[in-house]
Parts: sequence; C-alpha cells; structure tokens
Amino acid sequence: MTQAGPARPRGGLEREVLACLAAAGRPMAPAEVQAELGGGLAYTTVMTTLSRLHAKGAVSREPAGRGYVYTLRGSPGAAQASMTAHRMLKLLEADDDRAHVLSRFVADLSAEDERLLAGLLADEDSGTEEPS
Amino acid sequence: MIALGLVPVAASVMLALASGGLSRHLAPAVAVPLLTLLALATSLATGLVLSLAAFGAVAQLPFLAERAGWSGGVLAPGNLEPGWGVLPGAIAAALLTAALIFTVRAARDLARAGRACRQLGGLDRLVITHDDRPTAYSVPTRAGAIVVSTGMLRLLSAEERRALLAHEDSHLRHRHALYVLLADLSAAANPLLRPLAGRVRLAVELQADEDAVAEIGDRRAVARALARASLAVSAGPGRRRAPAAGSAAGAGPRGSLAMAQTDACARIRALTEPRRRRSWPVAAALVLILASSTTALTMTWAMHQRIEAAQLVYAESHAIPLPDAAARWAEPA
Repeated sequence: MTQAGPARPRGGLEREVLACLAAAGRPMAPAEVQAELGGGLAYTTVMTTLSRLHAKGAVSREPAGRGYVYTLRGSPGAAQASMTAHRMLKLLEADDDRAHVLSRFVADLSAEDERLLAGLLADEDSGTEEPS
Repeated sequence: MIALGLVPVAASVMLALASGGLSRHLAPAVAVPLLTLLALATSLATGLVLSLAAFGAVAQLPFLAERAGWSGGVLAPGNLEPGWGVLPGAIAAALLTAALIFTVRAARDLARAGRACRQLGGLDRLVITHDDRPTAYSVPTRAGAIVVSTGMLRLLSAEERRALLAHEDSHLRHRHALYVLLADLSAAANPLLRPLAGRVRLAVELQADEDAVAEIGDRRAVARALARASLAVSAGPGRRRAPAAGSAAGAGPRGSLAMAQTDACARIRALTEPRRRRSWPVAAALVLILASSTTALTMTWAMHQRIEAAQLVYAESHAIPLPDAAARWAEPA
C-alpha cells in the first residue's frame, strides 16, 4: 500500500518517462523527470527506469554535475521515420469508405464542439489555479 | 417461412433507428463485445435469409431442377414465382461483394500499417515521431504500437500524457481494432447496421477512457487530455474540419462521419457526468441476437429438409436408385 495511485501497466512508467523527455525536448536530470511526472514516484524508481531505458538504447546520457542528464535518442533514420509516419497518417486519414485500422486518440471536431471543449478547458484551468 | 425471414430484416431496421438508445446505458466493457456480436449475428442472418430466399425461388427453375436432380414443385416455397428470387438474389450478391471489398481493403491497410510500424521501431510499444503536428494513435499489429508525435506530447501535462498512453494501451490490450473491424464488416454487408457499428466505435473509445481513469484515478484529467488533444488536432494545419453536428448541411455524407463529429463531446460527457447503467439493453441485445441466429438456423434447416424431400420426389418420379442415406430415410421403419 505504498503506491499512491493505482498501478501502472507493464512498461507504463518507461513509456511515461520517454514521453516526458520527448515533450521537454532537452536533456533532463532524473530529479527533473521525477518532479515533472509527480504522483509520488520515488527518486530511485525514476533513476532505475532511466538507466533501464539507457541500457535499451532509447535514451542517451551525458555527465552533468555529479550525475547524468538524459535525452531522448532520435531514431537512426530520422528522415525515413518521418516519411513512414507520414504514410501512416495517410492511412489514418483515409476516407470513410475505408476500414478504420488505426484508432486515433481524438477525431475531428465541429465548430460547436470546439467552443464546448474550449469552455471546459477554461473552467478546468481556472479551477486548478484557484487553490494556489 | 417468409414471415420468419423478416425477423433479421426487422431487427436491422430496429437497430438502424434505435442503436443509440440501446447502447447509451451499457457499460462500455459490456457494450464492445455485445454490440459487435449483435452486429455480426444480424448481418449474417440477413445475408443468409436473403440468400435462402433467392435460392428457393431460383432453384425451382426447370432446367436447374433437372440438372440438380430435385423436384422444383416441392422446393418452391408457397408457389412463389421464380422471378421473386431475382430481388433478394441481387441484394445478397451486392452486399456480399461489399463485404468482400471491405475485407480486402482492411487486410491491405492492416498489412501496410504493420509494415510501417516495423520500420518506425520504437520501444515498449511506444513510437515517438519527431513532428510538430499533434497526432496520437494506436496500430493494431500483433505486437501493437502507440504512435505519438512530439507535437502532441508537448501540449499535455505529465498526467494528461499518462492518460493518453493509458487510453491507447487499453485499445491494444483489449484488441479493440478487431471489434471495430468486425462491426464495420457487418455494416458493409448490411448498411442498416451502420449506426450500430458507429456505436461500437464509440464504445471502444469510452472503454479506453474508463481504463485511463482507472489507471490515473482522475476523471477530469482524462477529460482535460481529451479536450486539449481534440482542440489541437482540429486546429492543426491541413485538417478538414468536420461540419457542425447540428446544421442541416453538416449531416455529412455518411452516417459514420456524423457519428465521429459528436464523439469527442459524447466522451467528455461520459467522463464528467457518468451515466446510470441499466440491464434492459443487455437483455434486449441478447434477445435480438437469439432471434436472428435462431431464425437463420431454422430457415437453413428447413431449406435443407426441403431439398432432401425434393430430391426424394424427383428420384421416385424418375425411378432412380436412391443414395444410401436418402434410401434409409425413405424406407418405413
């Protein structure tokens, strides 16, 4: 009962750390990653995950101060990967006749939907700022 | 027999009109398999009933009956003119062709996605593309992959990123793509089932959203991730904007597109104000599945028996020695 939130799926934390480094787009120290992820994660857990990712070759690290900073390692053939991703997007945006083989996180919005969602976000953001 | 054949057709019409009411109060985890099974059963039963009607009417044609060795008079249901077989036959052939085309396209698209996914590499089923456009989707290959662009990741907070990853992971874990494909295939073979297939697609998203909630323990965070990602994707360059759901011109060229337009809002609503679950839709769906499959089985069995009887009558009238099985059946015990 030490974990604050419900458990992550297998590989879940590794994915979150990768996503965190990708979003930052700059080298990050383990403590920064820990602070960014939040949710009561222990420093050692983050540290272990980062070194495991480094062993797998997903992140690169360089010495900084007394420890390391970590960066997301770009895929070897970045140009090729980008083209492949583009082909994939074409499948994704296939017209409605086509089978939906890829499932998108979100679909297109109507103007009406947009107003509604923007309103929700505005409420949420002001709501979360109030307590501080 | 004709009245019985109308059961799957009536079920299809009912589902075309009321699939929303049926699925609204179902828990997503129940809705996904149940509605998919309902779509499959109804679609198969409709196709079978149409084929049987066409066969029954056409098989009595003298030149066919002579070659096949059965009595046309015994086979014809209620002295139906052979011409009546043309309509159900044409519909059955058209729908079967549509289903085949759908299957071929789906298989081709899946193979393409699988190839592209292998080229992208990635780790732990996560592929991060270095792209400013916000995209996020899952690829249902054997291993499965979640593809997210850096543009999307930058938009979200750590918690919202976790919600997105949990959502896509749920799609892969539950093999959601399979359900959606089967439901879409059913709709290809029976266009009346398009709204139901749309409901399966929505149920799959709702279940993935619920799984994300279960993992991070915050409904509003999942709703926020969804809203932020939706707005970013629809504001992105080169996106075709969906027409307003309410406007008359915005009904969209197809039912499923109209469905997609309201998807985000339906999902947000489900996250912010959870619905009460009811059990009657489960019962209703099971009754429809049972009715369609029983009808299909009964009619197939009836046709099988009628063919046997027609063969017997033909053999007797032409003094042909009966095949073993038929002979045993003909002899009085």
